[in-house]
Amino acid sequence: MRGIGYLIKEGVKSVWNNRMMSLASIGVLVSCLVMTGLAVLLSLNVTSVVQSVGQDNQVTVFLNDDVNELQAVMEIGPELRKIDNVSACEFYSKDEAIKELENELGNLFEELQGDNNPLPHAFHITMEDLSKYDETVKSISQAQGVYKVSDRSDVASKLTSLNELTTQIGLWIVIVLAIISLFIISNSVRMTMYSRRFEISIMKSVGATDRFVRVPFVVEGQVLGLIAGLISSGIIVFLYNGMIVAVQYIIPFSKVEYSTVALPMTLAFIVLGIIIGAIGAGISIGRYLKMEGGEILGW
Amino acid sequence: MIQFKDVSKTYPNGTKALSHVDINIEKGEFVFIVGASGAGKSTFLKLIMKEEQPTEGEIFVNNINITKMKRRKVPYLRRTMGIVFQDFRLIDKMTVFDNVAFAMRVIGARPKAVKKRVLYILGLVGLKDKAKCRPAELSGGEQQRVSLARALVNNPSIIIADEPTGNIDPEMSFEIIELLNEINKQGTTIIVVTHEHELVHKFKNRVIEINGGMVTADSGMVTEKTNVPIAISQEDLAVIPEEIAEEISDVSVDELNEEVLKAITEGEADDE
Ligand SMILES: Nc1ncnc2c1ncn2[C@@H]1O[C@H](COP(=O)(O)OP(=O)(O)OP(=O)(O)O)[C@@H](O)[C@H]1O
Ligand SMILES: [Mg+2]
Repeated sequence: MRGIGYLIKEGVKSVWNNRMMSLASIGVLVSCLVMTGLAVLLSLNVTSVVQSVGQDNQVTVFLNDDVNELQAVMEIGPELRKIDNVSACEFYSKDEAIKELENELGNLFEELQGDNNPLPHAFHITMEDLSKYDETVKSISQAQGVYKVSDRSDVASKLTSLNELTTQIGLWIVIVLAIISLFIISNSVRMTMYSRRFEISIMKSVGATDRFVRVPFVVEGQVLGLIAGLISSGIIVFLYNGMIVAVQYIIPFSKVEYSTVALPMTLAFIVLGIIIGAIGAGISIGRYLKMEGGEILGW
Repeated sequence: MIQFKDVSKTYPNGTKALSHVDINIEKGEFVFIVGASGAGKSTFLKLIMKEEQPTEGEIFVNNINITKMKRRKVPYLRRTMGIVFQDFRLIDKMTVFDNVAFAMRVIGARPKAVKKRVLYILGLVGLKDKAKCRPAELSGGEQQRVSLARALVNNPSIIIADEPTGNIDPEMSFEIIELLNEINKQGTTIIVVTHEHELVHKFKNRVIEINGGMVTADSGMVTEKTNVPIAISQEDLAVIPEEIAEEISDVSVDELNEEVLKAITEGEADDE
């Protein structure tokens, strides 16, 4: 479109002319974007924790009673190692097992040492990818000489479901906040339109097309969105690092460094802000565009 | 140029503003629209600008049936018209220059073209010196000339003015109509709604009287603005009520205007 420079300038100016409402719009949009960002970061962190837990997340594979130590180490061990997704496979003899029990529970187990040991030999298996957990366990239990597979920890699966839950709650919060942002921005733009209804009526009477009438207001919405996006990009760094420090003080874990996600995060904030701004403005404009002359002025 | 064919307008609240109006305004005409308050004059103009839709009949502007015109084409229709309002409708916070330039800018004119054209038009209405003033610093007559400049700036073929002199003193009013007359000489069609008998009287232009939503008198097209009998076409006769039609055919514009004015004065007296 030719000659819209003037209208774009008008749109930018009205952000300042309408500053109280602009401030409110930017504030709400910033909180929406920051919440969205935090939800994403939380999810990233949970995923990374799940992965790191997955590293020492082992299953214990109990072998059949009739399997002796030699068979276990020489035949079954190599077989288990061949199973997909198994990253480590460590032999755990029944002698070791009983000693551990004795250490924990006392000499109750003294008589059960040696040949009286009722425990089976076992392997500690570590998996590579936790999401393939169920398949892997199935393959292991089907291997020759395996009596039973028992996982020592279901922390990972709990974390995974926690991750799903936080993602879902986060999504709802974001949707609600996005709707509120749209509402506030559309109101802000509506106020500009109201204060400029006189100009709009003149624009229409001299033959400005709807596209042209729209420009300053869409630009206003987009500028609000852009500013909110930039502010959010700054705020989230401090908020995130602060929160990580606080959480790590309680439970140490390996965090996701903000710098690794900074670029996509900033871009997403800006793009999202501009889109929400434009849509919010669009909601208000439609109503005015349909009006004519006196109607616009409220006469 | 502008044709109303059996046009009626009833507002959504049931007010019948116009009923069965037939009017034909040729290119280059200067027409005064007169009539009592509430007669439907503004409605007539709004229908031309397509700010309102007729409930019946058809309207042609430049031989285009605007009754069926798509909404997105309306802006282009309006670019052929310059509109002047009684209350000037100038933007207070803008200078005179910007007020006039606004009309060009919002339809996408190039900045360079804007500057040249606006200064030219301001010169035309005699306000070049006031380009940097705000509307509040101008007299009513000057404000109306700014408004006229804005209407002219996009080079319309029709000027539509709804009581352009309603808010300014008589001398200034005369000036404004004089200016419109000059513009008319360049071939621009001009339609002016007015309540001022003096003006209608002084300028020997075609007068259409609307009362109660109907055309109650039409002096017909004026070919020469001297004291010659008006040439009335058959078409024009058709829109004039029979009682008046007989008289019109051989009266001068002056005499007709007298008649019309009498009718208006009586009409207004009735209103009160
Ligand atoms: N938007 C509207 N809705 C409903 N009725 C309307 C509307 N606009 C005008 N009217 C009515 O239609 C009739 C004609 O109004 P219009 O404005 O055309 O009169 P007018 O001749 O311009 O009067 P005036 O000389 O006072 O300006 C009046 O009765 C008026 O009340
Ligand atoms: Mg009126």
